[in-house]
Amino acid sequence: MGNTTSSSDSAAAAPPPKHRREWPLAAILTARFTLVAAIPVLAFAFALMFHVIPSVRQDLDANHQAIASAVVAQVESYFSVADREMRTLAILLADDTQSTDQTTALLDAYVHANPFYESIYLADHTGHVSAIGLPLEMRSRRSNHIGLDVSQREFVREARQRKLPVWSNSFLSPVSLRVTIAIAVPVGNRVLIGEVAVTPLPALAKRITADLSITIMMLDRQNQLTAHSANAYANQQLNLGHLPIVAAARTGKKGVQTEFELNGSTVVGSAWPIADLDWLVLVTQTRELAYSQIYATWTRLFGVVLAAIVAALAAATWTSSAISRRFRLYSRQSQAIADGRYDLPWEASNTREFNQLRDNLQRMAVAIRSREDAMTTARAELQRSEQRLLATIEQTPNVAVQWYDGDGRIMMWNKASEIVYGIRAETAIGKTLDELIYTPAQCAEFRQMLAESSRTGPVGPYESSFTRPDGSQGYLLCTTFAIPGDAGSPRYVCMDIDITNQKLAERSLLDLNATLEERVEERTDELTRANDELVETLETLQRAQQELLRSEKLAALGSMVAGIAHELNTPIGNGLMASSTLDEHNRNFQIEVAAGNLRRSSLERYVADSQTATDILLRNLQRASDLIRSFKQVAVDQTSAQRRTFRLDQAIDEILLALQPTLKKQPLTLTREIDNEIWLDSYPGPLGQIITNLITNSINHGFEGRETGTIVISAQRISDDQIQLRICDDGKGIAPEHLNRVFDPFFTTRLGQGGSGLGMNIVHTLATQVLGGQIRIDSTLGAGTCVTLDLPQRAPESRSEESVAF
Amino acid sequence: MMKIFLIAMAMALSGALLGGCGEKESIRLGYVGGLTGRTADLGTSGRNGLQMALDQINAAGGIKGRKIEVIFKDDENDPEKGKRAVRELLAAKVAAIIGPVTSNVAVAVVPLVNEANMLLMAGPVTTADLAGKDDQFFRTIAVNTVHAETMAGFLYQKRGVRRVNAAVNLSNKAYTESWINSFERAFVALGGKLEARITYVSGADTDFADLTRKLLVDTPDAVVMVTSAVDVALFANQARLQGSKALMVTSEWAGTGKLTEIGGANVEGYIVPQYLDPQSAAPVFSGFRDAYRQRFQQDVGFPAVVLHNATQVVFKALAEQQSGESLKQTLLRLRRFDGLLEPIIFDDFGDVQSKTFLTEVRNGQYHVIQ
Repeated sequence: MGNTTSSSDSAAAAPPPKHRREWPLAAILTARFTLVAAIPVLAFAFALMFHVIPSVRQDLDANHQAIASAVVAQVESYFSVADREMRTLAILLADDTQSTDQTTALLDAYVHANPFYESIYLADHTGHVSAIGLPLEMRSRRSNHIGLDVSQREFVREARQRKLPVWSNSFLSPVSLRVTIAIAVPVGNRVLIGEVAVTPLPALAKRITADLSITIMMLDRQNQLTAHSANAYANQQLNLGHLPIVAAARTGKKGVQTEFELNGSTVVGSAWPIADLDWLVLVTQTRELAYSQIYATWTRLFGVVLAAIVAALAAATWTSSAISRRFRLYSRQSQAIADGRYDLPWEASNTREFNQLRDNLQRMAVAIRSREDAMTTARAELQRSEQRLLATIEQTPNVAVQWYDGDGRIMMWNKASEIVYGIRAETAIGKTLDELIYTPAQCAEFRQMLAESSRTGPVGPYESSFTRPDGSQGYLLCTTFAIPGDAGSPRYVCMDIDITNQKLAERSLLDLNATLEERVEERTDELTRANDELVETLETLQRAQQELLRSEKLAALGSMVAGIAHELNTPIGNGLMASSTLDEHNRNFQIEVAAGNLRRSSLERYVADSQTATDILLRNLQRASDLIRSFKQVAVDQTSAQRRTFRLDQAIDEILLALQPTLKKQPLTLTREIDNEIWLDSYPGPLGQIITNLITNSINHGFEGRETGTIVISAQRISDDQIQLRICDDGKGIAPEHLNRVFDPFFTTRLGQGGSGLGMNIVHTLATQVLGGQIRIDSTLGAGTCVTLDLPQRAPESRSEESVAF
Repeated sequence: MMKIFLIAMAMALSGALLGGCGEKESIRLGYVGGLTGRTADLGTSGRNGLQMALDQINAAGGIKGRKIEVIFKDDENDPEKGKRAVRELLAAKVAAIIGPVTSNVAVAVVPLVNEANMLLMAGPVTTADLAGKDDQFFRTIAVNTVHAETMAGFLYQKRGVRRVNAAVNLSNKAYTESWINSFERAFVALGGKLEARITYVSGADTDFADLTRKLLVDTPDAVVMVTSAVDVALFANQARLQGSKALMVTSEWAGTGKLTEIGGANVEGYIVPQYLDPQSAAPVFSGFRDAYRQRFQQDVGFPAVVLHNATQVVFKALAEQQSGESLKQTLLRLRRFDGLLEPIIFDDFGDVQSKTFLTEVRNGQYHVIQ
């Protein structure tokens, strides 16, 4: 039951809105205000970036270039002095007339006079130092250097070959033990070498610019750092050849302002060649210092932006907190409405939109309240409805109803399910079917079918089988379909009808069908046998029937002979008596005659008595003759079934006369109502038998056990060639259930009391087949029976000898 | 809430105006070596070797995404300046110190690094004084005992030298004394004799003529000069002038390009032991040799090779270092590292074994003779 509320909830729960990061209104408003404040500042910053900064860079370029040019000029002039002086000295030494001491003195004087030189020495034709001029403090160790082999030095070899002064690279001088550069000037086959200190070079460079932020470096031919304006790395033979700016300058791209990494900091610099020496001057400045003006501008700008933003933030915070306070208030009010408190005080605002919002919220509260009431009623109704429905499902007989969740777990199990599956609801709820009745494979199939039903609509009805806990097999007719469940998860319904019995019946029917043919054959054989027996029996019966008919006829003949005998007995007895009386009278007369006492009176009495006896005799003999003629007629009619034309009334009189002996025994009244002028061309024999049988039936059945009775025989013409003959009695009538069977052969209510059951059948056969008419019988129990014969005036011609027998 | 928001706004804006700074902080290393003065050939060559490794690793994106930065310090082969340099590097919170390049300085600074638990991956420091100690001092070439003994054996057995005089430069005493003592022990053991041990401190007023005269007293079979390349060149000059016929021999210290540059023809035929075969055709080494020439426009010397190896070892250790592990622990866990010529395999004390190559100067080039 608990799931019913979900239907309304899930309907309302549309897909949840994509979660987005939420910000307070005040923050959003503040951010937007700030953005607005920042826009002009940013615009200004872009202007600065694209206009002011490039011009600053240009200034920087020009500045560096000026410094580099000055340094180049200074260094070139510095070394050109040495170049010039050493050439002059070479000329002095060229004649090779001085002694070693003189030469040494000259060189000493030169070095001493000019601190520019660290040492000047002359190598002889083998390349060994023959004389060396040293500063004062080093002269004591002059011997250390005399004899040193300088012939392997690159610049010395080159000077010798080219016969021209050649500058060395910087190198570690074994004389000064400092990094030095030297110029070799050929003097005949000797070489004059002057080592020039590079130590003044930084000072030289420093003179050019007072800007300490600018670093000037000089690189020798090997790109080794020879001089550094800040004296850093001095003499460390640091090779800067790897710097892209140096490599570029070596390939002729001079003075290109470049940013690059140097000793861990980013610098801006350019490289300039010193042509005479094949050196490079590198003017660099750390990026921060080079762009200090730009950085200062940026800093100020940032200050302005920050100030603007702070101001904007303050203003924005004030404004937005006021707005957001109002929103929070309404939010609280809405929350209160949501919590079901509708009677909160609403304060007014000076903002129209807020007032509108407030009014709308109030209206909403009222609307919600009324809707809530309606919903409460509706929910109660819904609950009742659901209870009704569930109770109906629960109590439904024969239909097992179950609910399943999406995993095939049982959620509901009605009473019918308990009966059908033989499992109690408490056991079933919460389980899956494989825990109860199914194999895992069946259960998987079942689940798949559940899933399918939610896609394709109801599945079934289909048949399914299962095993009850007691091991017996059950069969079900199932329908499965999906109904909405909780929170969008499907729920499935299964409705099952137990068809185990039908199923079993079907099984046995199938078995039956399988053996049917065999059985049919068996039966056919039996039937054939029975049929044969029947045919035999029928023949026996027919034979018996004929026997019976014959015996009936004999019986009829017997009774007729008895009747005739009885009828003739009276006239013949009367005649006998009259003739015996006459005989006596004659004898007496004869005696008297003989005795002669004859008197007249005797003769006259005699004559009268003779006349009377003769009259009686005549009358009775006439009577007997009539009787015999009549009997003869009946017998002829009956035996020969002779067709003739006769008057119906006469024929009936003759029949009744023949029946006289039978009728006399009974105290009944026989009434004839027959038209005189009815002539028939028919068979009087069969007609007589019909009337005889009917009257006999009335006497034997209708008046059985009664003192009196009336039989009315009536006949009239009903058309030109049709007459109707009715024989009615007022007997006890025929039971309705017997009425239909009256004409059936062998039907009798007096079986064993002498009835053959054929009388009425003979009547029917004679009436329809011999006389060609129709016969019907009407009877009311207790009121009488009436047999009606509709006969043609002319009986049909076609007749056979056999049918006549009936 | 509002406050946080304001701060976030301010930061976002300032970030937008000043440009982002998202790069990972670089790993800092220190280098100590004599970059100026008489023995600057060791320090500058070593620095160049380090620079090669540094450029390579940074071009490859650094270690674990962090660039490597090296702070270079010049100790001028002065123990006091060396100590100052190391203190400065400790203060700069470097991850490890590479150098120094002379034993003298090394002996002076090892207590400092031990105290600070700072790894010191030395250059061509071969003094036996630092051998066999469980400390922060590591080196990638063998202790000089091996080299001195090799030289002693060579002289006695291959050249028939029996009487030797030696010049010992005390300005790098830790190395030179260790070397000459090992040499003498081995040489005497063989049956030779170190007759004169001329010690001096190299400086501007050193009188090489006088020292050479003392060195040549009693015309020894061989003269062993345990000093720098510049000094050997100056000795060589005097020896020639004084008409010496003795076999001239140096220690590994002199085996740099400076010897042939300054000595010229005077050092022809000199026997110079080397830590490495300068003519080796090993592909890794020859590749390095060519690159070095390209970069610095001079021939590679042993200090560059040693320092390059030392630097690579440190890089590898940094790359493999696990959390909670000191670099020393990493080195002792890994033990084996690739070198330009030979693999470097540390023992428990951070020492390694390495070969000694004996070379002879011919036409200004070192040729391996043993």
